[in-house]
Amino acid sequence: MDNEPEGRPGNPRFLAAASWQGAALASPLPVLLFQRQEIAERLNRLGAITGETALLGAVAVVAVLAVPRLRNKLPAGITLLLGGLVAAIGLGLMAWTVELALFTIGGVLLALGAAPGMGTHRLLLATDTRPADRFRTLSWYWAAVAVGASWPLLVRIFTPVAYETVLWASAALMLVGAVVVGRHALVHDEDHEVEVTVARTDVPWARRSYGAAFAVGAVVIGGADAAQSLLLGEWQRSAAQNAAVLAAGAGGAALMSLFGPWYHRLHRLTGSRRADAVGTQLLVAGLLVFLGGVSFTYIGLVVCWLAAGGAIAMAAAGLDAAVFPALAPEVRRSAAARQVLYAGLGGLAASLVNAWVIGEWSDQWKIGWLGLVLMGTGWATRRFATPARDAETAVAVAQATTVPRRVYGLADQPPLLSVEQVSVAYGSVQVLFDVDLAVEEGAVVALLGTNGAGKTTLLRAISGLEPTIGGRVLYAGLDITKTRPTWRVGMGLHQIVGGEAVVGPLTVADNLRLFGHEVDRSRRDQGIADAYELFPRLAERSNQRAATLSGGEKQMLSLAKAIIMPPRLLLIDEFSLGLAPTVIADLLPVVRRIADQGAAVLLVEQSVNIALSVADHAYVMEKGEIGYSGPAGQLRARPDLLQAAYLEGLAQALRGDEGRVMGPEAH
Amino acid sequence: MGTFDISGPLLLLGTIFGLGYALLGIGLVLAFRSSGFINFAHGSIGLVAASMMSVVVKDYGVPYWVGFIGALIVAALIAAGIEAFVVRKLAAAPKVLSMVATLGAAEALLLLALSFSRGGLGGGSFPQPPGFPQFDLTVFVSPSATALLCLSPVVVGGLYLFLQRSRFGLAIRGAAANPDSATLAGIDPRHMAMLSWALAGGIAAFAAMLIIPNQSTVTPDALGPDFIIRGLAVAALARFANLPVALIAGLGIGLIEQILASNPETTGWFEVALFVLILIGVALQVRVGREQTERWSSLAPSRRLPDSYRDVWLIRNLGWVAGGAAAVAAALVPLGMSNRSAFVLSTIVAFATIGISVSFLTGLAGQLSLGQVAFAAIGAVAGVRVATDTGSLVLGLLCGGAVGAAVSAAVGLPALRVRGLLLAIATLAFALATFSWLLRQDWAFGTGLSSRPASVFGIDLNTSRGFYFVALAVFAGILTTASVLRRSSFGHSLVAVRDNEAAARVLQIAPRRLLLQAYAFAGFVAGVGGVILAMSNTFVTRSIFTPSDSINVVSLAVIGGLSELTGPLFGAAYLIGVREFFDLELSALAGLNAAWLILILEQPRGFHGLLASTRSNLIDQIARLRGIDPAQARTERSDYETGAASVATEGSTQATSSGEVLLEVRGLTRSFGDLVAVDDVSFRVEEGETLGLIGPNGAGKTTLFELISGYLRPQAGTVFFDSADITRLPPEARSRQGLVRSFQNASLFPTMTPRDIIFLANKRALHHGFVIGGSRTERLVEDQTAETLAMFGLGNLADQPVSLLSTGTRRLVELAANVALRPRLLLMDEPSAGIAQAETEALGAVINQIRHAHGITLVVIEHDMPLLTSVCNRLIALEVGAVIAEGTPAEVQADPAVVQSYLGEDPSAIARSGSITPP
Repeated sequence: MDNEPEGRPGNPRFLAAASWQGAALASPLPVLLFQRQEIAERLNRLGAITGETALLGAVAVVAVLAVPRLRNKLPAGITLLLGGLVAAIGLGLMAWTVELALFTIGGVLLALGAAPGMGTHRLLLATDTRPADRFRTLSWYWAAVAVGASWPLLVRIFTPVAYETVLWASAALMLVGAVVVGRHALVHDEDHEVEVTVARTDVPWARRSYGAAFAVGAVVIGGADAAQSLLLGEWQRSAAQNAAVLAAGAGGAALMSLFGPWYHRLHRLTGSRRADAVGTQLLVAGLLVFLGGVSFTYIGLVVCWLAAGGAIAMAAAGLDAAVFPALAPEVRRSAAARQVLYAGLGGLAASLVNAWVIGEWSDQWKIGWLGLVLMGTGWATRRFATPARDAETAVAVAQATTVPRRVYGLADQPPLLSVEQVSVAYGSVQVLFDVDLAVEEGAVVALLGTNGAGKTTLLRAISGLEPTIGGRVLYAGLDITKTRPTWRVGMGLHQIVGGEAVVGPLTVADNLRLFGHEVDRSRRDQGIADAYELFPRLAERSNQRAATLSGGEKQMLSLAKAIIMPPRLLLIDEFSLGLAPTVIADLLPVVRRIADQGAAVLLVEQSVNIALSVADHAYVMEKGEIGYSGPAGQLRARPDLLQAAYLEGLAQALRGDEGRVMGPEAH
Repeated sequence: MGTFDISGPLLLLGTIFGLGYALLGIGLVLAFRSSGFINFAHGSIGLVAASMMSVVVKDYGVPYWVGFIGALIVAALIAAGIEAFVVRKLAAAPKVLSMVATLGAAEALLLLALSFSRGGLGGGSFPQPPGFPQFDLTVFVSPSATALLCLSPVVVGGLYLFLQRSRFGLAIRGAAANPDSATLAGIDPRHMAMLSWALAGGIAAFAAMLIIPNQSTVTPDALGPDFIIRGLAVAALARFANLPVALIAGLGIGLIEQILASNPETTGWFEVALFVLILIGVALQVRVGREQTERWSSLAPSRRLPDSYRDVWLIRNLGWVAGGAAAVAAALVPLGMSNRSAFVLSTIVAFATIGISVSFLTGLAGQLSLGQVAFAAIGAVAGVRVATDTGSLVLGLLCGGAVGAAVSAAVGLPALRVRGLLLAIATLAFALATFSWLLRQDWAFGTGLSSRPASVFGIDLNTSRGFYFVALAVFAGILTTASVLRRSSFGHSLVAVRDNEAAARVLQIAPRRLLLQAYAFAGFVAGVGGVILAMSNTFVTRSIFTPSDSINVVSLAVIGGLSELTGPLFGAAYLIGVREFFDLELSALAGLNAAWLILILEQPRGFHGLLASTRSNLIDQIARLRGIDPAQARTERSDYETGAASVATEGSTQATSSGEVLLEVRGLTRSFGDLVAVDDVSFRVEEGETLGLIGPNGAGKTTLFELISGYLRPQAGTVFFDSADITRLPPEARSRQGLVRSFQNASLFPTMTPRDIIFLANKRALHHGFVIGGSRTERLVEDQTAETLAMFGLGNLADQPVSLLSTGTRRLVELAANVALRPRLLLMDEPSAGIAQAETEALGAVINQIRHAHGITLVVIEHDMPLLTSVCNRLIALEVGAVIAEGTPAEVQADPAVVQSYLGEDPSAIARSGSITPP
C-alpha cells in the first residue's frame, strides 16, 4: 500500500524499554514450565503440581480477562509500571516460598502483572510506529522476548545454580524493566488516539489472530513440553542438548529481527494478500514443527525448530502489525489481552492432550500433531481471507492513521459546546434525531419545547448520563462523546437535573458537601459558606433532610452547586417546574449572576417567557429535532410565532410564516 | 414441656452471637443500598477469607493479627470482585438471575473455603485472637467471643461514623439515593457500589473469623441458607436501611436463639421464629430498592421463524419430535442399568418436576420463590401417607398435589403484597421453618416413613428401576399439562401480568386471582414432584427436603433456561446428575458451581440459550433439505419490519355525538403529599364525541386518567360511567364495562407478540372463560384475532416480540388490542409520544377511522396540536390540576389563560417585582 498514511516514527527508547520488559516477563516461564519436577520436589507436593499448573492457567485466564477492564482507565505507562512491579513481587514470592499456597499466590501475581505487559507492549509498538517501521520494530520486540525466554535455560545448563536463583534474577530483571519502561512510557501517552469505526474486538482480522494465537500457544508451550520429554526420556540426551533445542526456537525468532526491512517489503501487499502471507508463514512453521517432531534425529530437530521459531515470529509480528491499527483504540487492549489468553489456552489444551495420551503416543507424535494443528491454522487463515472482509479492514486501517481524535482550531473561536448530529435512543426507541446545537463561551442559551420534545434527553447526552448512538459532542474543542460523566464534571461541565438534583435522604448540609466532593476541603467549606450567604433559607434548614424542602428551596439547593464548584458550562433542566412566580423571580438573578461570572448556561425551560427573559439565544425542539433556532430577542419579538409553536405545531407555524422560514441554523 | 433457661451467662452468649448476626445483617444492608441486590454470597465471602486466615496462621505461622487484617482485605477484594463481575453485569437482568448468581457464587465460595482448610473449619482448631481473655462461666466464653463482644461495637460505630461523616461515606450514601445527582457531582456510583461491597466483605470476614471458633463443626448445610437467613432477618427488620435497628435486631435474634435452644423440646421453634420475624420485617417495608421494570425479554427466546419455514411439518413440530425421541431414549436407558443409577435418574426426574413449578411460578408469573421444596415436602407428607395407607400410588400423587396446591395458595395469598427479593427471603424462611420444625413432627416424617406402595398398574415398585418408569410418566404428564397451560390464555395472561401489570388490567385480567391460580398450580406440581422425590427413596426422612435443595431447585431451573419448561430437566441432569454419577472432591464441586455461574452470566437463558444456535442450524438444515434457501427466507423477514402498518377499515360512516352523557367526572381531587395533582375537576363526555385534554407538563392530565380508569383512588369526587358510579371499581372491572385506556409509554408486554395480546383481548371481548388449546372456542378467537391483525395491517408483525417493535407499531398494537375489547370509551394518553412526525400524521387518520367504524367515544391527552385538532370536537385545558378552559379547539387555543399557561408568566410582571430588568 503505497498510499499508506504516515504515522509517526517509532520511539526507539520505548522500543528498547518494552523489549527489556518483555524479555524480563518472558524469562521465568520456561523455568516454571520445564523445571516443574524440581519445583514440585521442593514444595513437597509431587502430586499436586499438575493441578497447580492448571490452577495457574485458570488464574492467568482471569487475569487476562481483567485487563480489558483497565482499558482507557489507566495510562499505558502506569499499566506497564504497575504490571511489572506486581509480576516481580509475585515471582519473588514464588522463588522464596516452600509453601504451595504462597507459591500459588505468587503465581497469581505473576500472571496478573505479566498479562497486561505482554499485551500492551505489542499494541503500542504496532500503533505508534510508522507503517514502514512496524515490522522491524515488532520483530525486534519478539526477538527480545525469545532471548529473554531462553537465557534461564542456558544458564541452568552451564552452571549448577538452583532454579530459585534464576527466578530471583528474573524478578530483579522485571523490577528494573518496570522502572525502565515506566520512565519511557509515562511520557508516551496515547494522545495520538485515532478515530476508527470498528469499536469491536471481533472484526475478522482480530478473530483470525485469536485462532493463530491459540495454535502458536499450543505449539510453543505444548511442543516444548513434549520435546523435553522426548530428549530427556526417549533419546537420553543431556540437559544441555535439551536446552539447545529449545533455545534454537528462540534463536530463530531472534534472527528474524535482522530481516525487518525485507519483511516489510513482503507485507507491502494489500488486503487478502497480507492474510495469505501470515497464513503461509504459519503453514511453513507448522510443517517445520511436524518435520522436527518426526525427524528422528537430534540435529534435524534443532534445525527445524530454528526455522520454525523464525516463521512463528514472522507470523506473530505480521498479525500484530495488521490487527492493532485496525481496531478502535478503546478495544485494542482487550484484543491484545484476548490474544494472550488464547495463547495460554492453547498451551494448556496442548499440555492436557499430551498428558492424556501419555501412554498411547510416542513423544515424537506429541510434537507432530501440534505441527499439524499449526498447519491447519495457517491453511484456515489463508482460506478464510476473503477479499471483501479485508477490504473493510484496509479502510479501517486507513482511517485509523489519519483522522486525529482531538479537534483543535476548527474556527477562530470555536464554541464552548458544540453538539453535532447527535442521536439518542432508549432501547429501540429513538428520541433524538441528528441534533445540532452550540453554546458560546459565557452565553445564556434557552432550550424550549413541549413535553417529550427531547430537551432533557439532550442535556443528559451532553452531560454524559445518556449514551449517544450517533454524532458527537465537542466541549472546549475536545471530543467528549465517550468521556465519562464524572470526568466531564472535572472539566467544568455541570448539570442541574430538574427537580431531582438534590439527594432527598441527605440533609441540606450533606447535600452541599456532596456537591463539593471534587474540590478540596477548604474550598468546599468556603463555597458552602458562600451558598449560605446567598440563600439564607438554606442555612436555616441545614440540618433538615432535603426531601422535606419546598420546591423553591430544593431549586436553591441545586443552584448552590454552581456556587461551590464554579462551572464553565452549566446545564439547567426544568428550572421553574412547579415554582411560584415570586420564587422564580428570586432565583433568576442567580442564574444571571452565574453567567456574569463567565460561565455559559444552557437552560431548559417550559415557561418560555422566563427563559427568554434571561437568554441570549434560543432553540426550540420538537419531536427530537431542533425546529427553530435564533436570537432570543427575535423570538421575544414574535409572540405569535411562539404561541404557534406551542399550540399549533412548529412546522405549521413556520410554514405560515411565508418567505421567512427559519430552519435550524447551526453555528 | 421443658423449661427455658434465662440465666445471665446464656444471655451473654446470646448477645455475643447476636452481635455476629447484626454484623451479617449490616453487611447485607450496605450491599443492598448501593446496588439494590441482596448478596446471598455475603456469608460465604467471610468464610473463604476466614478459612484462608486459618491456614495462614496455623500452618505458616503468620501472626494472628496480620492474618486477620489480611483476611479483611481478601474478603473486601472478593466482594468488590463480585460487584464488578456479577452484580454490574446483571444490573439490568431479571432479579431471579441476580439472586441465583449470588447463590451460585455463595456455594462456590463455600466449597472453596472448605477445600482450603483440609482439617475442617470447625471450632476447636480455628485460631483464637491473642490478647483477649476467656471466661469459664456455666457456658464457656472463648477469647474470640470476648473479642466479638469488645470489637463489634467499635466496628459498627466506626462504620456509622464513616458513613455519616467522611467524604466517601457521604458519597456512598449520595450515590445510593440518587445516582444521577452523584454522577453530576463527579462521583461514579459504580465505584461507590464497589466500595460498599468491599466494606461489606470486610465486615463479613470480621464476623466469620470471630464466630467460627465458637461453632462446634462447620458443614456446608449449616453455613448455607441456615446462616444467611439470620442476616436476612436482621436486614429485613432493619428495612434494609437502618444500621442501629439492625444492631438491635441482631441482638434480639441472638437472644431468642439461645433461649429457645436451652429447651430441648422447642427444636425448630427458632426457625419458625425467624420466619415470623421476616414476615414482620417484610410487612414493615414501604418500598425497598429502586422500583424497576424487570427485563424479562433477556430470558425469552425469540422463536420467530421465516414464514416459508412454517409450512414444513418437521420444523413446526420439531419440539414434539425431539421430546418424543427423548422420551423413548429415557425409557430405554434403565434397561441396562444398576438399581443405584436408576435411583439417581428418578431423583433427577423428581427434581426436574419440582423445577417445573419454578419455571412456571418464576419464569412465567415472575414470582420469586425459594420455597418450592417446602411445598414439595408438605405435599410429600400427604402423598406418601395416603399412598402407603391406601396402597394406591395415583391417589397418593393426587393428594400430594392437592395439599401442595393448598399450601402454596395459602402462602401465595399474603405473598401477593410482596414482590421481588423480599418474597424470595420470606419463602426461604418458610422453607427453613418447614424443614426444621414442621417436617420433624411425628405427623409429618418424624423419624422416617417407608415410602411407596408395592406396585402400580402391574409395575413392580420394589426396585428403583421400576419406580423410575413411574417417575418418568408423571414427569411427562406434568410437562405436558404445564406446556398446554402455558400456551393457553392462562399462560398468556400470566406473562401479561408479569410483563406489565397495569396494562394487563386493561385486558380485564384480575392480577391477584390469576396469580393465586398460578401459585396453586405451581404448588400442585411441586407437591407431585415432592411425592416422586420422596418415593424414589424407599425410606423417606426430612433430610431429602433441605433448604439447600430449595435453592438448588431454583438454580437448576435457571441453569436449564427459565423460559423453557424442559429447562429444569437439563439443569437437574447437570446439577444432580454430575454430582451423583461422578464422585467429586470439594474443589471440583466448586469448579462445577463456578462453571454454571459463568454460564448464566454469559447466557441468561442457560442451556436452552446454548442450544439455540444448534436448534436454528438444525432448522436451517431441514429447510435446505426441503429446498428452502435459509439466507433468502431470513431476509424476507426483515422486509416486514420496515413495512409501514396501515389500517384498512371498510366504509366509514360519520359518527356524531348522540348527546347522551357517557362519562361524568365530578369534583375529582387527588394530591400527592403537598402537591395537588388534580384539583376539583369536573367535566362530561358525551357518547360519540372526541374530547382532547391539553396542558403543560405537570398539569395533572395523566393523573386524571389514572383516576378515571381506576388505577388511583380519588381523595374526593366521583366518576360516573354510563350513569353508574364506578369510583370504587378496580381497573379490570371498568374495562369490562367498556372503559378502556392506553398508556403513555406504550411499553405494552415486551415478551409477548401482537398475536398473543390481541388473542387475549378478543377472548375477553367474547366473554370466554378458561380456554385450552385446540378447542372450538379457541379456534373462534384465533380467527377473530387474525381478522383484527389484518384490519390493523399487523399481519406481518404478528409474531414478533413487542420489544422488537418500533414505538409507532407498538401504539398500533395497543390500539388494536383496545379496539378488540369493544370499548365504549377509550382514553388515549399521548398517542403520538415517541413516534416520528410522518407517523403522527398517519395516526390521526387511523384514530378517525376507528372512531367512525366502531362508534367509540374518545378522550385524548396530546401535545401535538395538529393531531389533536384533526380528531377532536372539544378541548379541555388543565393547569396545576384544574380546568382553565373548555370549548372548541379554536376557542381553547386562543384563550389567554391557556396561552399564559404554556408560555409562562409575563416577564414584565416579574420585572415589576424588582428582581430583574428584561434585557
